[in-house]
Amino acid sequence: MYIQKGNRKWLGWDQKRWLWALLGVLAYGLLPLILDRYWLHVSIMILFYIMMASSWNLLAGYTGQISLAHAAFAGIGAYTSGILAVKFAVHPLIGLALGVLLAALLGLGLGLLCIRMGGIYLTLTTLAFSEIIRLVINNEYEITRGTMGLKVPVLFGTYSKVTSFYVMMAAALLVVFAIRKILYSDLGMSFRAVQNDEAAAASVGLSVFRIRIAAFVITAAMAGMAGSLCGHYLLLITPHIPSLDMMFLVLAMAVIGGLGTFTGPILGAIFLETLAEQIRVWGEFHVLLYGLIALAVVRFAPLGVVGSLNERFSTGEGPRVVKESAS
Amino acid sequence: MSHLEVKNLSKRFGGVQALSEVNFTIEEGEILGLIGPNGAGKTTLFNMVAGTLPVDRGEVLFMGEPITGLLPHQVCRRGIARTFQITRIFAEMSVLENLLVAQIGNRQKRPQADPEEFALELIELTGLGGKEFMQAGQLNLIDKKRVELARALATAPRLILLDEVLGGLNTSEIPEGVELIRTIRDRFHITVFWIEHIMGAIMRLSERVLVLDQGRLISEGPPEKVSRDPQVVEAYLGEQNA
Repeated sequence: MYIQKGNRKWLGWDQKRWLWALLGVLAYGLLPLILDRYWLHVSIMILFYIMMASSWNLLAGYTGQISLAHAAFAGIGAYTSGILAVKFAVHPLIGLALGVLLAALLGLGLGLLCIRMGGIYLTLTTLAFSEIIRLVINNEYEITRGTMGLKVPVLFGTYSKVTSFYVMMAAALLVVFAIRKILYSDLGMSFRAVQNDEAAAASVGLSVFRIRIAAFVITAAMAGMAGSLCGHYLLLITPHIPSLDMMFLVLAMAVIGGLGTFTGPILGAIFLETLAEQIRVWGEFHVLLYGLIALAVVRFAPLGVVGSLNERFSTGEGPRVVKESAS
Repeated sequence: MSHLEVKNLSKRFGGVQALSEVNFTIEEGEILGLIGPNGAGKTTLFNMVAGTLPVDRGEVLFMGEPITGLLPHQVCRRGIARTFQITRIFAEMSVLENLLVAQIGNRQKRPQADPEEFALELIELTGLGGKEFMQAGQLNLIDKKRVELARALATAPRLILLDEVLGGLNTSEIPEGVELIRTIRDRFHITVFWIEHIMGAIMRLSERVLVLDQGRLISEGPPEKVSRDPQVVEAYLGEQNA
């Protein structure tokens, strides 16, 4: 609604952009027809990372709260539905919903804890939260099976990679579309106002408190859903999901793609996860390559790939740059 | 009933008494100027009315209701808007978005209005026409001040607090700024309470002037009377003439 009426734009994109997006989604949806089992697995994990990186970007890129607890929320979602299914025979779909709820609740708690903080203090607090979650999961062996991992049932029906692909794809589309909707809503505008200047946002009648908390709750819920889906796809939930390894990979995806841009984290997730599979054989050295890529991006495209392209060509992507004429 | 009533307002920062026992009222539709030497407590007074600073002692009543202790966004929703001495715009948002985001929390004040039309009207009024899609951070200082003023108006206020809104304008631009403030008051029936260092402007436009010195209200009245007040001359104008 913040784009001028009558210029046939919807959520910031004209018909042509939507057509390209639709084609991209359709093409991705046809991947199970051509990919082998291994690459099908990669394409499923890409969808998981798209959810993680996009939702983290909503929190970090649009409200400026650089949280390192995003992977921890994914872990909370995964372990909630996993433990409920294994110990209490709760249907994984119900477990998924409860996992999302618990992640949202803990997001609320962490958001409240961080409300008076900004910058490095907020980041360190979320880092501590993340490590607490990981350590508890690691050490509560009897419940979580620790580093051995928790064997969990499939989300529903019989296990099939193709079904898992479409389930994950539906979820990723839901998350990405919800984010687009939020960005072009009052809430999304408020996010950006708060990121720009909290005192000014308060002076025009926006409750900075509520807006920052909302960002934490919404993104934690999204991470919880992504984590739970990932666990029931892999059939094994390990402390890798709530690990800092995972967190920094997600962070790298969003930053390399372009923090505060809509398409950046999506492209970053596709690129880095594909790359990660190629360099898996390097073992721990793959982190080195991420570091080098991140360095190169920060040096040559400080706004991320998409952010810097936007800057250069002013494509008007995302609500950051509005270029339409007022006619 | 006065529009705004300030009773015994006091504020202490450590060993400095920034404001002591300040009392005054503003009538609806009035343009009230606030002057005083640097460090007199003018911005502190604004910040306490706007809820940015907690009140030590005293009370602020707006349209008969106490607003002491309300948070800044609550004060704004009650109908008091402000600009900042050092501009605080949403730099990475367009001019239009700056004015749209200011309306989000204040919709109930103008339930029938179209946010975009209102924003474009304010852009025209403040002389920002043609710049609505520019990033606010890329504007020059004067245009940033215009955005702040327009953004404050976008919250549909009854009372507006302007903190040195003419600062940085050159001598030929000041009369234009003065006229703009008058237009705003007449068009939207807004009460104006403003701080300004430019004596000519404040004396010309204000119907009444308050003078603060070292946290105390030392004089109040029509501009002609205040400018002849010996205490004011000594504390403020005297300092310049010395």
